[in-house]
Amino acid sequence: MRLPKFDYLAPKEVEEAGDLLSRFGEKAMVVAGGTDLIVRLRQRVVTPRYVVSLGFLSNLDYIKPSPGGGVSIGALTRVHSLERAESLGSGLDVISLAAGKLASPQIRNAATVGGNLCLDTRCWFYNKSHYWRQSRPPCFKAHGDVCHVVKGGDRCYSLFTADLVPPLIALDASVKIRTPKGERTMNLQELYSGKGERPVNLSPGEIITEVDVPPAGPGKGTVYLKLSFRQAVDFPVVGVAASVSGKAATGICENIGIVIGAVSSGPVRASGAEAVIKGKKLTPELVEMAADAAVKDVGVIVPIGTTVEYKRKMVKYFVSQAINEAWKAVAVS
Amino acid sequence: MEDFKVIGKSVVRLDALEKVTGKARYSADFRVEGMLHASVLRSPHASARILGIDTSKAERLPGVRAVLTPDDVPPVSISPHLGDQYILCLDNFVRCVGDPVAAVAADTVEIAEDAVKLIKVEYEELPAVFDGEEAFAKDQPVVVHPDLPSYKVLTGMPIRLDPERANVCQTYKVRSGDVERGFKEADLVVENKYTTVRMQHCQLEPHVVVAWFEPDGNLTVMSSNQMVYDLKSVLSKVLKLSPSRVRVLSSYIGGGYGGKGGVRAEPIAALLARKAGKPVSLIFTREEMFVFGGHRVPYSIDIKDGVKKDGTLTAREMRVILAIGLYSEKGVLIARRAAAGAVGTYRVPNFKLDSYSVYTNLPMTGALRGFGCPEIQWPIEQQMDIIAEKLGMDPLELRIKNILNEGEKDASGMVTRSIGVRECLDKVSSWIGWGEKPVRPVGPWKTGKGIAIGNKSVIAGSTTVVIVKVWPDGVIELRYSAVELGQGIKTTLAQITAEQFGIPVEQVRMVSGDTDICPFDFGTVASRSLVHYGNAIVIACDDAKQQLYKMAAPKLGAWDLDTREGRIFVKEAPEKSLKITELFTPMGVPLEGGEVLGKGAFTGSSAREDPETGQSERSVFSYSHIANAVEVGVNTETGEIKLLRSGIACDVGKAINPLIVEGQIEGGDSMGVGSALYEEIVFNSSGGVVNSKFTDYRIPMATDMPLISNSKTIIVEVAEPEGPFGAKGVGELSLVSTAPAIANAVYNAVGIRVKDLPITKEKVLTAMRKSGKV
Ligand SMILES: Cc1cc2nc3c(=O)[nH]c(=O)nc-3n(C[C@H](O)[C@H](O)[C@H](O)COP(=O)(O)OP(=O)(O)OC[C@H]3O[C@@H](n4cnc5c(N)ncnc54)[C@H](O)[C@@H]3O)c2cc1C
Ligand code: SF4
Repeated sequence: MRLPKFDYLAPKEVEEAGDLLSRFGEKAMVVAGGTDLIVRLRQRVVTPRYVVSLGFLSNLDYIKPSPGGGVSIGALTRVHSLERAESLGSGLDVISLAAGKLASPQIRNAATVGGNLCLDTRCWFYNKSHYWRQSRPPCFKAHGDVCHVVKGGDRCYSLFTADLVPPLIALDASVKIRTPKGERTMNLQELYSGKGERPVNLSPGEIITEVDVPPAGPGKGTVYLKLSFRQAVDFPVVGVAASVSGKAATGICENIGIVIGAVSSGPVRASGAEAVIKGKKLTPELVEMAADAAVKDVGVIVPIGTTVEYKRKMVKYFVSQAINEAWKAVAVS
Repeated sequence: MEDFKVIGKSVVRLDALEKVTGKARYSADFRVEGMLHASVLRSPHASARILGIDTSKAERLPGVRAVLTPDDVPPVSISPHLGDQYILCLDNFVRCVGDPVAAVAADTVEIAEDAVKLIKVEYEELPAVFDGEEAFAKDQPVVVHPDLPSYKVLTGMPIRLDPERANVCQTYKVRSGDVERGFKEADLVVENKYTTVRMQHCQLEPHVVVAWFEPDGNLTVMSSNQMVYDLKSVLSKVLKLSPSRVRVLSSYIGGGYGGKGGVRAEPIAALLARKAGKPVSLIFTREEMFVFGGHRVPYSIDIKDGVKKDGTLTAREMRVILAIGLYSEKGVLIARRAAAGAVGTYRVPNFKLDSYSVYTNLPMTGALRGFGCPEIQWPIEQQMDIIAEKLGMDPLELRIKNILNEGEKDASGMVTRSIGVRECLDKVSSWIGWGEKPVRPVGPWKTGKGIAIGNKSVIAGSTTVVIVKVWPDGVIELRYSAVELGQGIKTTLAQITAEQFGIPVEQVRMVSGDTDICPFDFGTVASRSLVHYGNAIVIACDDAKQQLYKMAAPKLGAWDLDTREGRIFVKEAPEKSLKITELFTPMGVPLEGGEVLGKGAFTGSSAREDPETGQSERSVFSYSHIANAVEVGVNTETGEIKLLRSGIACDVGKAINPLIVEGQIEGGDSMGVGSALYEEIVFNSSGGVVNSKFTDYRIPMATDMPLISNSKTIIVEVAEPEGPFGAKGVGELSLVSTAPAIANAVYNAVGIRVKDLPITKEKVLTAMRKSGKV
């Protein structure tokens, strides 16, 4: 499978990139590391007239500590750099650990943070060659009106599988977006529409320039657990981030964030599960209840790659594991 | 023990430097002036009649040079055994998603791919059958090839249909003793059903071909094929050219595993080249490889074993259904070869096997490393563990008790010889610490150990020819037709040649990859190259040496001569010697005969097989043996399996180059791990391959194998009397028993048995929950 024809543009400044993108609107797409976009181009899943590379905007490749112990990460920072960063700040090393779980060393060398945040949702009926897809009517994600995964479904159920996103949301990260009119900042959680057809809330011409992670603060433990079918080079079957703060002495969990990836068309904030635990003393029974609540938070699970039952069991198991391990980190801090 | 100069030494591979520096050339690096690029249109339906094909739009696309439709294709089968396959779909019917329908040659691949999309095909969709057992049933819902009874049988291999089952294109029987009596004698009868699934070879290099016609009308084809002479013969048939006018070239091959042993891309490229009047290159896409590059045949096996209290096997009965897909290709042969795997290890006094190759509306299957043998050990080696547990015996002891002895007849009537499986088993079981507790489990992980054994045979009755040329400076040239697909054959054959003349490997020149100068060979398949080439080389070298000695004898005044390091000397008086150079004129012409060319041909012995009982004194050329011992961790919460330790011992007769042999063993073992844990071609409800790319079809990574410090590769050498220096094959052996060893270890860890490959996390978890054991 070859790349389709497109014009390749390589601006040197963010402003220039912004101008090109506003000028070409829907006809243009940006490419950063290309580890996701190039595959989709080859499969003709997307066919932009222009591909605008962000790869030459070197001033977006940085990891800077921010006041108070947080960190600002440029959108073009390689996943590998995150993985290898000495320390991102107290309580933030989970980001490096999550980075190390993505794909393979080769892919991490090319893949960027911005590209991961904007990773399109996936489905094995959609991420296929032109030849393969043409044997069936186009599905919702391809602007058609059927879904091949959920027969009779009325929307797209493709999966959001970016590994960096659950821990970043659990850490309350926000993103800086360069728009044709200027710059705006939004909570990372708000970047996601939850809609498989168009999972990322960015308009044509908008690019992400930075991710800001606030200080974790004392007494906070965060983990990201990932289950994949194979031990390397594999998307998550389920990825769970849990960020717990509290006092080991009292055993009371003061605050908690649980975010689940690869179960829906966007990262799922398990607010039901959080409510079960917040302000309470952690007990095995409570964790079990929270895990059950998380399964409810996830809602509909579709059979992409696994059976529904298996995934449901894994959500439950990994949520309880994540809470326990995050609490362990609180206890030692 | 003979003292060898180069044999048994791990000399550096001759292809190592060019490969690690990226200089080695593969077929796709090959360019011919004016070369066009081809793309194939494949059926989107699993079963349909073609009502019409409109190529006009494609033909009008600028840059398109030729379009091929079924009308252009000669009605000659490209399937080796049974006339059921044309170059493009057979008789205007498509029989699987992916069946080739048309092809285009154009100035660029992009244009060819675009043109393919412009071909309009009108189909009338027909019902299809996907499940092997459904297709096998007497009231099968769909007959895949209604004309099967009238298809031509193309080779000497017997094809036996089943008059009651319209989709069966081959049946094969083995009968020995009386199974009914055997089951009566048994104290315990264990009956189970097992299944295996389709896998893809996943060679790094896809199928590649460049075909062109020379000015004199001869055809030349550069191809990544494992069976160059077979390809030559098919091309000469379909193009109606004398075999003397078809030349097949080959260079390094980026992995074969049997998948490149048939013809796929070559005839399409050749016909397009003829139509366009220009060279045509065709390279399969990765998706095409997953869909039509060939799959391992999925088996469904019913097995019934009878055993006495003391563990003696009294009877074994097997019914094997091979769902081969839409064309017979190698599927009809695998039905026979699978039987060898079933009889080559254990003493079973009463044995009955029926295997059936069954058509379905799914893509082609064929050879995939092991040729049916790993699939047959999957049930057998799990049965042995089940039996052992029921009898309260150690699985190791049960196996040892039933292993064939040297000199005993196996269930197919062949006398057992050179059987090193006991030694393999002893070595791996002691390495893994059999009988000792597995590593301590942590958290949700439980641990367990498992063993399994097996065999892989070398095909009987096939032929290899080589030519050896002596150069004036003492360099020995070997002309041969085996292909180097990473297995190291080039180096190994150079070592054998060097040994014959007592020279270092650097003094051997290896010439291959051109049927115009290199003689006949059956093919680089069936683990056969080393044994056949080794024997042929010894014969050819002797022939060349005799020619040299004839010239040297008068000069040395003696007839009993030998050669070493470029000199010929009198055996009795080695100080009387001359340099080989002295037998040539200053112009480089030998004193006699114009050229010193030695010829060696070797045909592995074979014996007739009784069609009703499968009995034959020589059903295979030789057997190699293997034992695996593994230790796994199983996560009781997720069903994950981790291979913690893995020992593998292979009886290869003689390791000509031990490092190469280890490479074959370890590579095969990791492929076995893939087959055990991950690999399965998944189809959707309309017969299309769902996971036709590497992100969805998972092969094992380095992280899936145990650490090197936790793995052990052991070479066992029980000499095969007819093998060169005692050698037998190793290429396919190394993955035969990996999967059942892992399955047995999983059982040992968590008490559940997965009988259907692969052993996925989901299956493990579901089975654990059902059993209530964990
Ligand atoms: C074999 C394989 C395995 C993989 N495994 C994993 C895995 O385990 N986990 C995982 O999370 N991912 C995985 N990926 C996906 C991918 O590699 C990563 O998500 C990676 O981080 C994407 O980054 P990129 O820079 O390469 O993105 P690109 O391919 O360049 O871009 C991805 C998308 O984001 C958009 N984009 C990129 N940068 C910006 C920006 N700054 N602003 C706005 N839009 C932007 C692009 O237009 C495009 O739509 C895998 C990919 C492959 C090929
Ligand atoms: S889940 Fe989405 S991408 Fe997949 S088939 Fe349904 S609509 Fe298409």
